[in-house]
Amino acid sequence: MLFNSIDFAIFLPIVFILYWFFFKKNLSGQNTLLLVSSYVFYAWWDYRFLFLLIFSTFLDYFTGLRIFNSKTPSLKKTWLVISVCINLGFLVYFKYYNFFIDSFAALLNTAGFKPHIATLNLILPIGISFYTFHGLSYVLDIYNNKFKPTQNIVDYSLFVSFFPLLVAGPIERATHLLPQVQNNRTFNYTQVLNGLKQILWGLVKKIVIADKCAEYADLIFNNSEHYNGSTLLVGAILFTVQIYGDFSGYSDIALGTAKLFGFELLKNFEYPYFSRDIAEFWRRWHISLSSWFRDYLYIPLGGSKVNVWKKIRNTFIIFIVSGFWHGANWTFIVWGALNAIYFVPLLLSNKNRNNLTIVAAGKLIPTLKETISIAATFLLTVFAWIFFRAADIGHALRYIRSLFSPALFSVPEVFPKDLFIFVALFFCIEWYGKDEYNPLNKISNSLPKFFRWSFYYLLIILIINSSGEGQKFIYFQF
Amino acid sequence: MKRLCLNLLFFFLLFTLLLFFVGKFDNIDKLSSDNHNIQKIQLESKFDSLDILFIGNSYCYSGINPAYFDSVGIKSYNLGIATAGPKFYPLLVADYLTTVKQAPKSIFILISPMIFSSKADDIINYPIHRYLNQPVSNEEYIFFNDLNSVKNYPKILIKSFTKSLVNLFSVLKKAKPEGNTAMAASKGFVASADKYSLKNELKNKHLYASLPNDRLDSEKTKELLDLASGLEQKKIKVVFYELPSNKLYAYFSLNYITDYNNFKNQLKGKYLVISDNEKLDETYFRDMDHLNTAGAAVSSKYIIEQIKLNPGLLKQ
Repeated sequence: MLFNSIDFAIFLPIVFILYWFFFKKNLSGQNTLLLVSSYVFYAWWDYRFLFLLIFSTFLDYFTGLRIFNSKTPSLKKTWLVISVCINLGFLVYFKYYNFFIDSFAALLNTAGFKPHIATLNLILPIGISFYTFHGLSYVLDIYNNKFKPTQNIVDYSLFVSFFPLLVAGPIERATHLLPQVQNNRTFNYTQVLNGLKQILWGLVKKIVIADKCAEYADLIFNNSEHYNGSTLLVGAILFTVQIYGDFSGYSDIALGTAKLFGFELLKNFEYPYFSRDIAEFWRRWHISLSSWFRDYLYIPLGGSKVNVWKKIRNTFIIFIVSGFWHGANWTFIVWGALNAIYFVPLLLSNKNRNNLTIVAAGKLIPTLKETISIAATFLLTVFAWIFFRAADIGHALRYIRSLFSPALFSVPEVFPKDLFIFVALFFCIEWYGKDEYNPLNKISNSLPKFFRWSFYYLLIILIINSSGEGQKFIYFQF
Repeated sequence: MKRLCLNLLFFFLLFTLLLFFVGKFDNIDKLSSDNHNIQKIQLESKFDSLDILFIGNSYCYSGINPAYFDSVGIKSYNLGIATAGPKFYPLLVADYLTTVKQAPKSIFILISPMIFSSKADDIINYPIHRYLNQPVSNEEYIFFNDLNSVKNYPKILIKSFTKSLVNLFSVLKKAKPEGNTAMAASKGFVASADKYSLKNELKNKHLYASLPNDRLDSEKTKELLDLASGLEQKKIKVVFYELPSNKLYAYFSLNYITDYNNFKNQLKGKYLVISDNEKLDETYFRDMDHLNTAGAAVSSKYIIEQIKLNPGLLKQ
């Protein structure tokens, strides 16, 4: 079920009413309702893969208990290895099997062999990368004695499958979400209202911004050989906006929906395109994934408390793995490596933690230096996204070659003026509200009721007016 | 909880009432509109006692030039309206017949794979029912013509609302008789000297993205047959016609085209169907599926030849 679909618009109020009216003071009833609703939400896409989700849930629940109850470290480790291997095994099988086979065949081919290796026609179970990482964080935290496993299978299942975050995150941690599942939740008017505002802003990002940018980004990327350099630049910028609107829009809807049920999920985006350097960008983009890799991969590898070469190695590992997590394609690996290349100079010069707070906090106008830094960082990300969006490495390289041609300074053949005006207005609103997690909070606090409601009406009109045929979210494929 | 429910209820109720009542002004611009679809409806009464009324979608207004029919003494009017299909056709015909004093001798109805697709009868972007001489409300249209479009009701309401706002802000705008004069002179034909280009096709390709998944809408084929038999009962001759197409067929699935051809054969058993037998090259098209002025000349002359082979068509 898509967040931007009629199905979800009917589903959500039903669950909300049942939750607060019928199970108001019954925690186990609320959790069971949310779990059943989450399975319905997931099965709406393809019920067959629900069994994989349930199996994965049982596996981590069971191995979590085993790890905790094991008397010896070696037994603990054995259960951890079993859990990690099976979890990653499913992920590799469904997501990476064909990639490895194809790459192996290509390698043999360059060595002069002509192998006939069969690939499989596999459907990627939606959200597998996300719920696998939920489960892995749970068993890893138990193994590292950060957390005691829950005995309640419903609570654990809800932690893994809670429908707002099930298919595209944020990637939650048991230490953060499970206590919320286990504790009583009371109806909080302000929290629900903030949730609704966040859903509204998420829908604007997805439907008004991302889907409209997608029309042109798809046109230009899919036919890049027919367009001049300036048009390709327009395509790359529009994809940059699209992927932000799409994924952060999804996260906003997820966080807002969770608030309706009394949950606070992890932040996933904090105005990444206002970052002054790439390190700041990665602290603001897909925060739950970045912090997951930091905690479960980068720090165990030694993090930055090692010698220079290992620092560089660790940086490349985390970025390349993060890229590969996004998809089984060399383009994602290059995208990850490119970000590592951007990051390493900051790391080596100890400037990677220079910009920890939001730019121009409390101010409306940034300084010239800040403006230049933001623009430079934005252009670096635009360049990297070309690899992310391209069909393959060859396509990306051809795109870049045509982009950096003399025609870069010609008039673009495709330039959706109205869309650029919308995008500019959108970023102005984001800029104005950048001191709050959701810009609508700042706007609603600064406007009298009449204008506030008029503004909400305007946003709803824009959403309905822009809505098409329920475009999928990009991150569903990961 | 109660406070939230009441606030939300009031918020959405106010919103809906606002949309509903303001949206009623969406068609007050019909006398001053630059839109040729609207203009040709306003001109219906000037084209009375016709030999042929052409109805169809944009293929019709791009591909049928009444001037060629005039030159052989056939009085015709092109009532092609963007995206019109079997849901719009009955409304257009009924509106025309109640507006003129004398019904046409024959009505030529465009058929094409497009008119049975999900892209046809687009009341969201082309709410032509609101601009008829006897306007039909959005609610009436959905209830009596197309219950399936109830899912689009919020979008339809919002389109009417935004159009009304534009109208209300430009209420002093004067009627534009020169626009209507030009449309009256061309008798509904919309000329275009543009020629097809790949870049143009690529630019508009996304508009056709849903077509490969479409299935021939059997409800629409039935409605077309009902329209034809209703006209016959009124002693109006019915002819179905196709126009040459450029790349359109490539966008549909094979099953769709097979079903379309089967339906066409079904029509041929009962009505005269003037098929697109001419294979025109790309220079006769303004884009991937619309004829340009040169293409319209060829297709109009071809239809005239077919009429000459069936002289009974234009007799009362």
